[in-house]
Amino acid sequence: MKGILYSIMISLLLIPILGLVIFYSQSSQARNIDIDIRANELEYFTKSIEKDLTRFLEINGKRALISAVSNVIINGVGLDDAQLRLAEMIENGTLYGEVAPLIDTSNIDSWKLEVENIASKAGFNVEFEDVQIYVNQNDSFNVLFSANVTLNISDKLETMGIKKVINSNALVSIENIEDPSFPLNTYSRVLRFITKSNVSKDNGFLVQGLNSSGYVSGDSFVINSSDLTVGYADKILVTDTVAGKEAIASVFKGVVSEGDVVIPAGLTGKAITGAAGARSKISNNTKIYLDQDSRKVWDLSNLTLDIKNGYYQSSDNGASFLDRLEGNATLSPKYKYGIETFVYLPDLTDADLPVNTLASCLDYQYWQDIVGSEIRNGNYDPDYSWFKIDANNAIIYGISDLIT
Amino acid sequence: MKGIVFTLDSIIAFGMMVFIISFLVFFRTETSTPYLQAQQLHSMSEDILTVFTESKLNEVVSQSLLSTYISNGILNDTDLDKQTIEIIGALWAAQKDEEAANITKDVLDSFIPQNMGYQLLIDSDNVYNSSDTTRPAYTDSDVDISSGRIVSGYEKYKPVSGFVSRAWATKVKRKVTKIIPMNLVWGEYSDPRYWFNGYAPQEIRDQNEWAMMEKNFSIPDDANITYAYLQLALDNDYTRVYVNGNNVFDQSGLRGVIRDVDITDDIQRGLNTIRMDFRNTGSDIAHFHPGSFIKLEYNTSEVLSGSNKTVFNASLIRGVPAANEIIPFFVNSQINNVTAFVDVRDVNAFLLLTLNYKYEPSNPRDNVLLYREYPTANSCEDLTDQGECEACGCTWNSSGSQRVVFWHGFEDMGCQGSNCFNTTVWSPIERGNDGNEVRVQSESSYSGTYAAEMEEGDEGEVAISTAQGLIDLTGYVSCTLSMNVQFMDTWEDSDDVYIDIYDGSWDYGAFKIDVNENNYDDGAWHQFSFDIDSADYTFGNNFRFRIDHEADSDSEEAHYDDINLTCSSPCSGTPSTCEYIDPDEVKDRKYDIVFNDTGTLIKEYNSTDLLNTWFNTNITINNIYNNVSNTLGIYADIRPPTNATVEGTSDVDWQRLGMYASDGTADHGSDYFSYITENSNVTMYHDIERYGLEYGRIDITRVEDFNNPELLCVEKDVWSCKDADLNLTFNFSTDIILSRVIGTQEWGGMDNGYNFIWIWNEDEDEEENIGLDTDTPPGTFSYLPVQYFETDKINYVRVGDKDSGRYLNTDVSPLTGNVRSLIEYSFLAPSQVSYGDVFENQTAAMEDAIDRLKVVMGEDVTTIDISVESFSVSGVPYMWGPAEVRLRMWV
Repeated sequence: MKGILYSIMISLLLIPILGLVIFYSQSSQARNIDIDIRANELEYFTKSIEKDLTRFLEINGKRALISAVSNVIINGVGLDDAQLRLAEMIENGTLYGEVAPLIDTSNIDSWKLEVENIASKAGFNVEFEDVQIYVNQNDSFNVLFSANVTLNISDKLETMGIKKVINSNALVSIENIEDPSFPLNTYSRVLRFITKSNVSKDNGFLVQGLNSSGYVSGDSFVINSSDLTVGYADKILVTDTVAGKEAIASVFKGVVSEGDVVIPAGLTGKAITGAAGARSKISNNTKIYLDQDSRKVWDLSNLTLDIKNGYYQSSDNGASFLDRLEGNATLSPKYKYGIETFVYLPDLTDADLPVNTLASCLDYQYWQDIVGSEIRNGNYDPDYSWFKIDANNAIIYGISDLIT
Repeated sequence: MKGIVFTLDSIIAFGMMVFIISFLVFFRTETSTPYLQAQQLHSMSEDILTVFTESKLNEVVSQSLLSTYISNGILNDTDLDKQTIEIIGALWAAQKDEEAANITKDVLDSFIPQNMGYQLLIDSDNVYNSSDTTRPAYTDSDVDISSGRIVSGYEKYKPVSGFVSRAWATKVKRKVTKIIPMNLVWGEYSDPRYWFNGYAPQEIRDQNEWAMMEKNFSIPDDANITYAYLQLALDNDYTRVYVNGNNVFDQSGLRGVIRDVDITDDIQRGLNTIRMDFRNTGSDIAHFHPGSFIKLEYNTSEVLSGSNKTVFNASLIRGVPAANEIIPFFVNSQINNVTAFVDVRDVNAFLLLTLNYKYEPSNPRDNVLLYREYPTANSCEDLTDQGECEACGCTWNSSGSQRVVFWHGFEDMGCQGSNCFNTTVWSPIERGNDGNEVRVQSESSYSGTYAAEMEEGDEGEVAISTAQGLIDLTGYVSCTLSMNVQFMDTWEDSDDVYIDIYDGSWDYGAFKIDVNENNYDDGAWHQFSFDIDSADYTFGNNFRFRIDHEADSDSEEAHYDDINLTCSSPCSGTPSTCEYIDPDEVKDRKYDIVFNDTGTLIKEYNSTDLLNTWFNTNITINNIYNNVSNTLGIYADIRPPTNATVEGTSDVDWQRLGMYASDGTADHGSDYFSYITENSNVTMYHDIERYGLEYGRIDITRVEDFNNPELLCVEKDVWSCKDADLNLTFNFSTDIILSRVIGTQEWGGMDNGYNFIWIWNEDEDEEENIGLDTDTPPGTFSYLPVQYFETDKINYVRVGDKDSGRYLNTDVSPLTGNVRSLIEYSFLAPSQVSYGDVFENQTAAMEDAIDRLKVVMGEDVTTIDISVESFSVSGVPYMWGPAEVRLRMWV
C-alpha cells in the first residue's frame, strides 16, 4: 500500500514537472518559429532590395540616357564625361549640378527613402552606405549601369540583421533612343533614332562570270533556257544559256547566263556570261546588279536597307553611344564598342543644310569630311546615287569591287 | 507478494505516466498547430512571391486566359516573357483591376490549397482577395501571415511606361520655291533720231533684226513641278518668248509694261532654256526692267551640295548691234576671292566693264573696271580728229574716205500723215497754213515703204529741216548731200525746190533744183547731189540743212526719200603708231578680270587716256561688298562711242553709251551682231553659306509689301520712292541675317531700275542709312546691308529711282497672287524644345512639345515657310516607387 501511495505521490510530483517541461518546450518552439519567419522575411526583403536595385537601374538608366540626350541636343554640346554625368544623374537626379528632367524625382536618393519607408512598415531598419554608380558601354547596343551599395538591414528589435555589399547590374538598350550625334552635326535640324540593323554588313556578290557588258540593275527572272518564250524589259534574265534565244534575251533589261562564255553576237543587251551556278545562286525576283568591271552579279539589298532606313551596325571605328553623348565622332578606347550608320544626304538638303557631296556617308566619316568614293550600282536604287564610302569600309561592306 | 505489489505498482505508475504523457502529447498537439500553420503559410507565401518575381507570365498563367487577353488586346506577345508580377503590376497600375485580379487568381489558385485564403496587395491596395470564394474568408481566419517584396516602377493610376517628346521647327521639306531672275539686258536699237549721230545701218532696220537673250537653268530630274510662272517687265516694242522651243509669248507695244505667263506646261525636268527675242522700232534701246523672272515650285529629293564657290552666269545676249548686260552677284557668307570672266564675241570697237557703278561727276570713270575703245578704225580714214590722226601716223589732209554722216528714209515711224515725221531728225516741220502740206506717205517711195511728200498751194511755207545738234561735221573737210526726189504733175517754171544750209546761220537758197527747166517733173525718181565744202561753211557740231518746197499749186507735188549726207575724212595713210588689231583677232577674244584675294578688284584703268593694252595690273579698288548686291556691267558694241572720253552725266547711263556711237561699222562688214556669251560669269569663292545656320535656331523669312503711295525721296528730292515698314519686334533675342528687295518696275528710270535704298528705324532720321546708291541697278533682287536693321523697333526700307515717277510696282500679280514688289528679311528663331514630361500616349507627348515650342517661338511657328515637327520616344519607364507587393495568406 505504501508503494501505491509512493507511486501516486511520485506521479503527482512528476506530472507538474513534466507539464512544466512540456510547456517550456512548446513555448520555446513557438518562439523559434517566429524567429525563423522574421529571419526569412529579412532574407527575402534583402533579396528583394537587391533585385529592385537592378530594376531601379534598368528604369532610371533608360531615363538617364534620354535625359542626357535631351541635354546634349538642347545645348548643342556633348557631355564632358558621359560615364561621370550619367552616374551623377542616377545618384542625384542632377546633371552638372542642375536638376535633370526625367531623373530629378526618380534617383537613387529617392529610391533609398522609399525603400526605407517600406522597410520600416515591415519592421526593418535599412541603411545604405557607400553608394557607387558605374556606367559603361557593355556592347555596341547596350549600356551597363552598375551599383555598388553596402546594405545594413535589421529588424526593429535588432535581434537580427544583415550587412552586405550589393552589386547590381542592369543592361539598358540604346535602341529607340535618339542618336545625339545627328543633331550635334546638323544644327539640330536632322534627327535619327537608333535602330539596330537586322542584316549583315556583307553585300557580297552572288556569282561571277567570265565576260560582261554594261551596268544595270533590276529584278531577277530565273528560268531555264528551254522554258524561255517571252522577254520582260523590266527584268534581268538569269538562265543557263541564251544560245538560240538571243532575240528574246535581248528584250530583257540584262542577262546572266551560266554558259555562253563569249557574249553571243545576237545578244544586244547588258550581260554577264559564263556565270557558273547562277540559277542556283540567284533567287527569282531578287534585285541584282550586273557590274561590267568586276564581271559579278551583286545583291546590294543589305546596303540599301541600311542606307534608306538609317539602321545602325556595330563598328570598330564609329563612336559608341557614350562617345556620341560626348560629341565624339569616333570610338574612344575606353568604350570599345562603337556603332555606325549612313547619313542620308537628302535629309540634310531637306533641312536646308549644305551637303558635302565628296565625303563618305558613314556618319563618323561624314562628320569629319573624310572623302569617300562612289560605287557603281547601275541605278540599283536611284535614291542613293549620291552615296559614297571609303575604301576600307567598302571592303567591310563587301563592295570594294564597286568603288569607282 | 511484494514482488507482485511492486510489479503492480510499477505497472500502475507506468500506466499513469503513459496516460499523462498521452494527455500531454494530446495537449501539446492542440497548442503547437498555429505556429506550424504560420510557418507553413509563411514558407508558401515567400515561395509564391518568388514565383511571381522569377517566373515568366506564360510559365505560370493558363494559356486560355493568356489567349483571351492577347486576343482582346489587354496583353501582347512580348508580355508573355515578362515577369508575372511585372504584368500584374502593370495591369493594376493601368487600372485594369479585373485583369490583374484574374491573373493573380489564376496563378495563386493553382498553388495555394483550398483550405487557405489569400490576398495580393500592392502598396496596401487590394489586387485580389479570395475571401468571397469557397476559400476561408479572412474574417474567419485563425492564422494569417503575409510576405512582401519591393518592386519599382509601379504606382496606381500610372502606366508602366510612357512617351516623352521634343519638337522643333523645320523648313517645309522637299518643296523648293525658286525665283530665277533675268539679268538686266539691253540689246537692240535701230533709230538714230534720238541718239544723235549714232545710227543703225539701213540693212538692220529693213531686216527687222531682233536682239536675243537666252538663259539656261536646270530642274532636278525627279522634280514634281507644281507651277512655273514667268513675269516680264519690258521696255520694247516687240517681244517673243520661247520656253524649250515653245512660243509662250508674242506681243507688241511693250513699253513699260509687266506681263505674266503661265509656263507650267512648258517647263521640264532637267535642262530648260528660255529665249527672249526683242526689238524696238522707235527710240531707245530695247531692254528689260527689274522684275523679269521665272518663279517655280517643285518637290525633289535631289541632294544639294554645299559649296564655297558660287558662279553667277551671264545670259547669252545677241545685241543689234550693242549687247549690254548687268550681272548681279552676292553670297551670304564671307567672301574670300572673286573672279570674273567676260566672253564677248564679234565686238571690235568698244567694251566697257563696270563694277558697282555709281556716277561721280568729278570722275565719271570711277568704278569703271575697263574702258576699252579700239582705235576708232584700223584705217586712217576713220579718224576724224587731226591729233588722233597724226598720233596714229596718218596724214591729215583734205582727202580721205567717205563716211555717211546722215541718212534718213522716213521709215522709222512706220505711219503715214503729217505727224509721222521723226521730230528728233526733222525739226521743225513747216506744214503750210492748213498744216497738212507736208506728210509721210507710202504711195510712192524710192526704197522701203515710206517717203516724204510736200506740196504747196500758197498756203504758207512748206519745208523740213534737220534737227539742231543732230549732225556733227567737226573734222570733215567736204561733204555731199544727196537725195532722191520724184516730181509729180507739171511744174511751173517759177516753182522750184531750194536747199538751205545752216552753219550757225542759215544760208537760204544755197542750192536750187530747177524742176521744170530740167524736165524733172516727169513722175520718175531723180537723184540730186550737192557739194558742201568746209571752205564755204563752218563744219561744226550743229550743222543743219533744210528742204524748201516752193510751188504755187497743190498739184505740184514732190516725194523725197533716202536723204544722205556723206563727208570725206581728212585723214589718210597707214596707221603705224596706233595699236593695230586685226579684226579677225578682235573677234572671239576672251577677257579675264582677276580679283585679288583681299576681295578687291584689280583696276585696269584709272586715267582719262586710253590704254594700248587691254589689261594692266597692280591697281586695286575696294568695291566688293559682303552684304549688298554687287554688279558687273558689260557693255559691248561694234562701234566706239562718239565721245571717246565718256563724259558721263547724270542723264547718260552706260548701257546707252553704245547709242552715242560714231558712225560706220568699224569694219564689221555686214555682221551687225555682237554677243555677250553665257560663258561670261562672276565666280565668288567664299565660306560655305552657313551664315544663317546656328545650332538650335532656324532662319525664318518674313515678307512685307511696299506701301502703295509714291513718296518723296528726301535726299534726292524726287517723287519716286516707296516704303516698306518692318516691325522687327521679337520675343527672343535675334538679328536680321538676310534681307533683299524683290523689285518690279514697269517703268525704269534713266538707268532702268531703282537706284537708291535707304534703311532706318523709328529712332533715326529719315533716310539715315544708304543701302544702295548705284547707277547700275542690280535687277530684280537687291540685297540689303543687314547691319542697318535694328530689332525691337519699327524699321523702314525705302526704294527709290532717281527719275521722278519711276517706282516699284505694288500691284498684285493676277497669276501668282503675290504683290509684285516685296521686301524679304530673315532672322533666326529658337527652333526646338527638349524632352518634356512623360505622357501616357504619344499624341499627348507631342502636343505638349509643340505647345512648348509655340511658347518659345511665338507667332512665327505658324508662318508658311516652316513647319513644326515632333517625335516621341516610347517605352520610357516610369519610376514611381518603389512599391511594396504583399501576399497575405490565412487559414
